[in-house]
Amino acid sequence: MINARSVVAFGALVVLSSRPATAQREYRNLEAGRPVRVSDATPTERYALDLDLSTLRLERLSLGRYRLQYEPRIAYGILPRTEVSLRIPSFYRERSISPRGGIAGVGIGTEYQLAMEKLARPALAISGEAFIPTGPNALRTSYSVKGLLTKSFVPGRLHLNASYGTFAVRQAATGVLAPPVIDGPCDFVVPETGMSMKAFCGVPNFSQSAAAAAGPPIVTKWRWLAGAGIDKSFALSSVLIAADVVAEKYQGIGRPTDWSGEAGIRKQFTQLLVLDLAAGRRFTGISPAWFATAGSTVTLPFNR
Amino acid sequence: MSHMKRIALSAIVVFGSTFSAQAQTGPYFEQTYLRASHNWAFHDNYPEANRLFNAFDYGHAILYETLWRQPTASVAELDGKQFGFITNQLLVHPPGVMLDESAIGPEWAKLAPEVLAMFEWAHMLHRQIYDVWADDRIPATEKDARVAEVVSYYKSRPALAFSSKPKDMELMEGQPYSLAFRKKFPKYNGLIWSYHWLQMTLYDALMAGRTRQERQANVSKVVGLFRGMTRAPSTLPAMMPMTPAIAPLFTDRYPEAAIIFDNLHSLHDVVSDILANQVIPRSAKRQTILAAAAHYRDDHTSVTSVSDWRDMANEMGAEKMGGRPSFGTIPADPSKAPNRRQ
Repeated sequence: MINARSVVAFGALVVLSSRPATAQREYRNLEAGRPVRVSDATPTERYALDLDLSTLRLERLSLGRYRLQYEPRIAYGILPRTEVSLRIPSFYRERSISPRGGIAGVGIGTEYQLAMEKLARPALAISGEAFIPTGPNALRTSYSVKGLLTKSFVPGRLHLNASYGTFAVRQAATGVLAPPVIDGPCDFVVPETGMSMKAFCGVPNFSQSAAAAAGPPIVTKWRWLAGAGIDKSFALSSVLIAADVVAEKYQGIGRPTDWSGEAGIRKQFTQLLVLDLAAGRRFTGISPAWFATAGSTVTLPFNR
Repeated sequence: MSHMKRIALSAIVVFGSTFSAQAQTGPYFEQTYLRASHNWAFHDNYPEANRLFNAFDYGHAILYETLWRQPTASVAELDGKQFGFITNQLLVHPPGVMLDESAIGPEWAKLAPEVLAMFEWAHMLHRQIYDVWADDRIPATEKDARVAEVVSYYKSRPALAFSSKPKDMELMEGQPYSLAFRKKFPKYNGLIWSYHWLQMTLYDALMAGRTRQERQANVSKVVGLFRGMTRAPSTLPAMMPMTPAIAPLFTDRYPEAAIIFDNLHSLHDVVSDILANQVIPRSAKRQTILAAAAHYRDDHTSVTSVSDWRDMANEMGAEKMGGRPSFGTIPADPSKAPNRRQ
């Protein structure tokens, strides 16, 4: 497994060695997690290559545990109103977990703008992603489709996102399913049963062990996400502030709906560079937590 | 049917219904500039002028936003408040990065996103030609080929590209809505024309210089002249600057691009007139703007000959358009360089 430190170092190297180019109006182009999870209905412009190579997320979980996630992402405007993207989230977790760090998987996505915004019609887009887990605990590929809506008003913009998709889990012997999310806790109590259990990050390495063939079966479940966000631009300083509320539900595993709220800022520092920061709180769900994110975007023309 | 399935089905119906509307707006999408070694040369080598262009984005966007949101906007709003802010603050301390016009004028951006896209695509061409001439690494003998390349890239999107056929004055000044803006808001109109004056004279400033020093001095000169205009509103252009009159070097060398930019600047004025003129009902403004924009894209409406276009510009007189700067070779002693405030 690739070490998280080497992934971070590689990302930093790529950012520093990138040829300077524009990030024209990039500060207004919201992507999931940049700075908040709710994004706008505008894909990467045609022939532009967005390099989001330094996206970091730090979470403070219960019992003083911290978790660091690094998620480089590349998006390319391959066709009119159409982007394709690749993201590679990796993680670095508490000491008691093995493996402590590594690449969680590879997400391959696309986004298509169905309609640009006009006076009486919001901008609409649709996106989809296949997420292929990697590493010794990898399960099945998960899929999701998302609708995005953006409506501009004089004071700011409103964004609505809704997604529906799959996730894979192992059926535990007790009949309780472990949650699949990489940012979920490794040790938790199932609310409905009060049962203490470990998630996939702590389970044995099924794919490499003799028990794999006879291990708990993998099943596919459904998940949904709904989010609403607002943003306000300060045009003359090329700064945007944004906030959102997101509800996320992993169905069929006895896990309550996660509610989270975030606020962030995004600034066009130079023609070459956009930086963003955000902080948020997961209020409910299996593991309430504080988190902070930071990232940068460099945009290059890539048309010949 | 489960609750979630009903939601998913509804979403599919909503999104699917937009495909028919998409057929009309299909060609209007964002596309990045042409990648080239000269990208951002103007930004790097002429930062003062480059920053002024960032400020120009505000001037156009706030104008259209104001006229659309406040159909009865007073003279004090544009010729007073906005003119004062722009000339006393924004142009004095222009932004360091390009501005997002849809953040300045969100309602204008929704009213005619197709036309905003045309403007932005043409502004991109402006910047790319500046880059070619600002890049000292490109030999003079290669400049024309590079300019041809960026013009070709610009024209690759006919839904956005202005015609490279010159249009007669009837298209701009002979319509039911014509002249409304300049009559009501003469100061702000002069400010917009001064933007267009600088955009075009800058080409001659770059092309007239044989060395980097000369180009720097020439650019400083036109920037200084521009700043002088904005400090003394009575010296702002009284007629729409036309490229053959104020930038003859550029016109002679790149007539196609010069025509494109004159058409761009004409449409800027036309949109102002449509928005400012109460003769055009609010419900008809979008369609009127789109129709005008289509005429500036096509190669047959109100087309005149290149020679007539040149003659018309020269007969109108460069003096009323802000003047035709003269560029000399700078002396060896930098202290004898041309006066920036001339």
